[in-house]
Amino acid sequence: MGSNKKYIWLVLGAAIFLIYPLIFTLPFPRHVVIMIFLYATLGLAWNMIGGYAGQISLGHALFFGIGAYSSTLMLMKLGVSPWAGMLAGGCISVIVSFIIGYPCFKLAGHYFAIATIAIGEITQVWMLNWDWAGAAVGLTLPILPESLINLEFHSTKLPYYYIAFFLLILALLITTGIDRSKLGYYFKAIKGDLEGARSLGIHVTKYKFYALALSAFFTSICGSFYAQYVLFIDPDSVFPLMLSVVVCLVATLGGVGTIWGPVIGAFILIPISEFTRIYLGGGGKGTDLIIYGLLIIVISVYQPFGVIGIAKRFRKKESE
Amino acid sequence: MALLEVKQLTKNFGGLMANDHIDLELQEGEIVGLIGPNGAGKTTLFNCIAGFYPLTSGTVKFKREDITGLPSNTICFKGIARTFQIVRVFKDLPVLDNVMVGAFNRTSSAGQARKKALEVLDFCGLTGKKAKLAGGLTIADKKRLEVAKAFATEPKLLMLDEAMAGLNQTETAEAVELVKKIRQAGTTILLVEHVMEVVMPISNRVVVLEYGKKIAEGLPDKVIHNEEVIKAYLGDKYHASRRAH
Repeated sequence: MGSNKKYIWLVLGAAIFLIYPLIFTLPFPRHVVIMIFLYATLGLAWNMIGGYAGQISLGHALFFGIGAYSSTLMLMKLGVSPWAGMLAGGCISVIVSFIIGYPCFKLAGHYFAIATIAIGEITQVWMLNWDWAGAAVGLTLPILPESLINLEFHSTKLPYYYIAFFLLILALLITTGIDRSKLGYYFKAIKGDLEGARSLGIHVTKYKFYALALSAFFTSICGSFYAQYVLFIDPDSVFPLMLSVVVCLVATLGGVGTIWGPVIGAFILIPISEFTRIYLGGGGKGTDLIIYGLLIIVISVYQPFGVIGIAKRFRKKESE
Repeated sequence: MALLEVKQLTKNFGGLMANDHIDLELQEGEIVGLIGPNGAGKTTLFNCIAGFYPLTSGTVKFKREDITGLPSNTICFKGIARTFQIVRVFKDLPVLDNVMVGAFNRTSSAGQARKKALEVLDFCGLTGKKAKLAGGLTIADKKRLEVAKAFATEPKLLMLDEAMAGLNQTETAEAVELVKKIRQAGTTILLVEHVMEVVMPISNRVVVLEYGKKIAEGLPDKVIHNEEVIKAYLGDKYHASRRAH
């Protein structure tokens, strides 16, 4: 595909999503796309460490939760703007990522993934018992006047929609930057062969830290956004293991270590979960998880490179 | 001035002495062959010099600087690159990207790394395969790519671990040509090799290891006639009946 043609598609896609909420004015269609944007951004963030650098994390809900709780607690206890809380949460997540990375990067492959699950679960239990931070009851955000500075909108989802869209575009730009720079090549080399990477002068641990820190920062920002969007958080909604798994699945289904993979993954997965929730209601609880489970099996058996892998295979066949 | 000075290098794996007080010196611009029977400790010596194993005792100096115990990525940055006996190409990446990873050792700009990688690919005769995934190459090309990656880090000393093992005669001859070209480009080479026909004609000097000890060192044709070397390779039984070349 020529690069000109590619840009036309990009501009067209962006235009469609800019106009979309003006055509679909009901809350639900807007909500679905907001969730798609949010999970695509989360998938892109996960992709930095899990896709590019090949360190599979199943504890990313930790950073999401840190983001949600940091901005919320700062707003409630100190009266700080959620935007500042968002940045602060990002910084806290980066610090936490260093603390986690230090012992966990010594573990390879599945052991790293298991360690991240453990850390995620420990944090959830801790938050469930931390009274100052609302414990199991959770935190209900104070209702403030609608404004961009307060990052609260009650009458319409429209501003949330554009903010989520902006976050997604930011994550896409940064992923593109990583993909084309030394950082991206080094991440891919670390994923490809650790010893081989080391022998070519790559400080493997340092670059793993970079990948995890970037990933944690973005995941955390999504967490803060989520808190401001839903206006209620508790450990079960922002720290669950299932969230870590879905984020990982979004990236894996679309195609790990690619720029567009997580976006494609989110567009497939999130509607499934939203629509089963709406149409099957309480009786259908868990249906989306069953579908996710099936997808995990299908991906890992037939196409480890995800939807992007399938697309590449077809393109190859056409050109032959 | 010696480029690389290894003094009394010793490496134990539990009770096994893989390298026993080995001294080794490399002058700038040399090709030195490191030979010995299976299990003699050649690869261990490699790994010790390149920082993959910690030494039990001894020192390694590179350009008069003590590099003993430094991590392998630092050693690579200082100018010692190595290849692996079992190739460690990044199989899901294209050939060009593989070499670019090496080239990033000296630059942070992707443009410059790409330029350097293209030069190295041309130098190593891999230009035609630059878009292929490394995992899909033949074993000969994989070994060539392994050398190209290491060479792209712009080393002063290149250590090749059996870069020609498993190749047929034509491929071996091509690989030998590549090694000579790299030498001419000003890189010193330490070569571990099983194939004697390869080592002898291109090496300025040969070092022979057996059971972790250095048993001989010198010009290739002198070393071939060394009693101990023949014993090490052929065993005591055939020692007496050898024919003089």
